[in-house]
Amino acid sequence: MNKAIEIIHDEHMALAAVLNAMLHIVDGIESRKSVPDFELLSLIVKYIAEVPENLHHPKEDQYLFTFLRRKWPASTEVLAQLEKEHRGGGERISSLQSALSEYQRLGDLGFQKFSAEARTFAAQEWRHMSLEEKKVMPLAREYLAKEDWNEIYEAFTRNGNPWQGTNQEYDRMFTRIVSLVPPPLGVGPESDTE
Amino acid sequence: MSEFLLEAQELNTRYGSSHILHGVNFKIRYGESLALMGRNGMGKTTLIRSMLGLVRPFSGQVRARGEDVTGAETYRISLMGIAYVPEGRGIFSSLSVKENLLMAARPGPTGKKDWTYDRVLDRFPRLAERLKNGGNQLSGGEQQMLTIGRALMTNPDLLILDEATEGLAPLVSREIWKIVREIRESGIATVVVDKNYAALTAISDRSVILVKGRVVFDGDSEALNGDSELIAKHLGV
Ligand SMILES: Nc1ncnc2c1ncn2[C@@H]1O[C@H](COP(=O)(O)OP(=O)(O)O)[C@@H](O)[C@H]1O
Ligand SMILES: [Fe+2]
Ligand SMILES: [Fe+2]
Ligand SMILES: [Mg+2]
Repeated sequence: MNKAIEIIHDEHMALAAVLNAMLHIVDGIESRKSVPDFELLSLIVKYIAEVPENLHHPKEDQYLFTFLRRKWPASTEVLAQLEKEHRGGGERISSLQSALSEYQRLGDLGFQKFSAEARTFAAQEWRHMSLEEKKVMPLAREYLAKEDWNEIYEAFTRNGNPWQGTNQEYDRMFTRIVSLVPPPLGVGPESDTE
Repeated sequence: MSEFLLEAQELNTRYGSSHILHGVNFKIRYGESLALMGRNGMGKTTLIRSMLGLVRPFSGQVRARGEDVTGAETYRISLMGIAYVPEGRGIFSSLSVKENLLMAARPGPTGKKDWTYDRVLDRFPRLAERLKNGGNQLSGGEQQMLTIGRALMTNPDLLILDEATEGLAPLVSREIWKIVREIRESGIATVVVDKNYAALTAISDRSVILVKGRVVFDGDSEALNGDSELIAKHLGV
């Protein structure tokens, strides 16, 4: 496959899986099947705050979108919308972060707000990624040439690339999340209220 | 020394009166990563089992590190640096996680000791929390981590993973793909069977497709991924 697209796609899958795990946990708490594990929730929120910002969006903004816009100017509108959503990421994540700290501080009283924020955040990210996967990627496949892809891939994997150095750290974070999320989604301990 | 770590020549295998593999040729080089693909029932598992001495082919030859091992005992083949994670995992359910791991520990055939007990636990932090649990108390994802960890404890040169992520949730599946990628990058050859063809071609150099016990494609994974017609025809997706 096209290795550059593969990297973007893989980051989407990772993010989607982590978002999904967050909602699964929220559902579990809501239906009183589980008690909140704040270590895990904080780790998840940290992951979805840092990975898009530090690892993922730069690849899109600086490379994928830039190349596509150059090769196919009609994509400007959809790309502008996606870039705007990238810029709004910080604000969305900080509402989620503060809802989580409130929840941790207030206990049950803070749950409603946190669960609403978590669901809204996940829904927005899903919509964003799905626009990229369904609209932008097919256009990029169509309009970018092999040399463009090589250049993009080369940039993604270049040594000293600011998003490369942090990769391993996020890989470890992902492994840690998988090992804390309760089954069937993760391999963490069964989290029940008994 | 042979260029190939494991090879099958003109393999024919039957179960009772059903002829399953028809003259299959299959090779894997040192350090190579290979995707073995095909719809259900096409003979992937049978090919693996025929090469590992778990079922005896009625004709053809299997060579490991250049040596004829056709129909040899599975244990002998595994001592040649070939580790196998079967579909459905194959955990020893009466043994604890720790015992499952420790009983597998040994240096590789060339004396390599890259994977120690501590390194396996470091890579699979969840297993470290489950050491005393029996294999039968583990979730599907934990079992898959344990079988992979156990395979790594033998310090193999080739890891064969049949149905790598079957039945696992996306979060755990991705972790398994991540592990397979690391294993591959560490220089261990891999043969992986899975239904996620996109993930499979992305982590392999070469792909082999079986249809009704015959090899219908053997080539570059990247080329295969660009060929949606071929994928639709043989893999039905
Ligand atoms: N132990 C067995 N006895 C009889 N037939 C078998 C046995 N195992 C597999 N088969 C048959 O052999 C064929 C190939 O199976 P298998 O190698 O398991 O396919 P795959 O792994 O590609 O799904 C199938 O038709 C299956 O029904
Ligand atoms: Fe994006
Ligand atoms: Fe994206
Ligand atoms: Mg099979």
